Amino acid sequence: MKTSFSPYAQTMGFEEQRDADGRLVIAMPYSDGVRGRPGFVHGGALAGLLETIAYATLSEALGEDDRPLIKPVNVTATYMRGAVEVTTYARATIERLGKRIANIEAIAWQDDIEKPVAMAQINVMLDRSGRS
Amino acid sequence: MTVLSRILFDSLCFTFTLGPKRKATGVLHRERPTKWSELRRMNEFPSEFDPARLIETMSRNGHNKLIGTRYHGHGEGWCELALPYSETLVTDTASGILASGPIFTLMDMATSLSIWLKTGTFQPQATLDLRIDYLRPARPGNTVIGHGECYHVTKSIAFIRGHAHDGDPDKPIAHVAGTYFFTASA
Repeated sequence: MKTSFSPYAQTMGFEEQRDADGRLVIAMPYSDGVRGRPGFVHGGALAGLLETIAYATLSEALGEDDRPLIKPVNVTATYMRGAVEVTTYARATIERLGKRIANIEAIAWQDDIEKPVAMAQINVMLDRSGRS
Repeated sequence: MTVLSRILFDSLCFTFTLGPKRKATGVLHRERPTKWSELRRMNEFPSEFDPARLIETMSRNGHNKLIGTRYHGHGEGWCELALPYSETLVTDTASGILASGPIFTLMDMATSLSIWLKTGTFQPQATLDLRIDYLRPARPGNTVIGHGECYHVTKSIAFIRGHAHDGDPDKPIAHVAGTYFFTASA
């Protein structure tokens, strides 16, 4: 299933990919637009990447027939290493997909997935009240 | 502005406008004719520190330039930034609602600046964690104001909190809490 990217995701230069297991991965190529302090990716750009992969993975899990409004409730981002001037990748795992709430964990890495640069715990509300 | 704060400020601006291959700390050391201990004693520093100029400088570079962060206000231990509405930052074209990523960046910036305004010294720092609660979406077309506040610092860690609103400070759209660590303190 193709995930349609938001204007924000396009602005950030996100690219949709698949890993060897067919799991959705989003790549964020390094550019001046994601730079924070010199030589490093901005923490806000990493958080935006982690949120985007979380919502895209959730959207894919819900499938074509189930399109609730995905409303972000909160995001807790933890930064583990400085992300340098190379492409950053992210993938997400849905810990629980309920009727109204989904709990998602996302990680971001660069050269080695075993050495993540950041991770995030993301909780969202699924609104099936009829809007959208 | 005293000579000392002027030097520190220029070093700061320079740090944020460096080419990516150069080490910021090296330049700071080369440019800095005073000791950190002297700078730390400058209790009057926060009132002379000019976040407006610093932020406008930072806004011309990198991720802040991309999302369009602007200076809005500051005081001792707090800083406010503005994020003007832009159609390039929306999450969904139909609704026109801003994506949460730019709001996260806005709050990361506002809270990290509040630490310098709290301590009155520039210490290199990195975000350890930042939690954001989205209370409601920002209204399409409205500028989002991010208020960051540093409420406690230790030798190694700065504790921050903040909120964002889209016009009425009494009706926040988001709350944040988090920690930063001083990377040179280890």
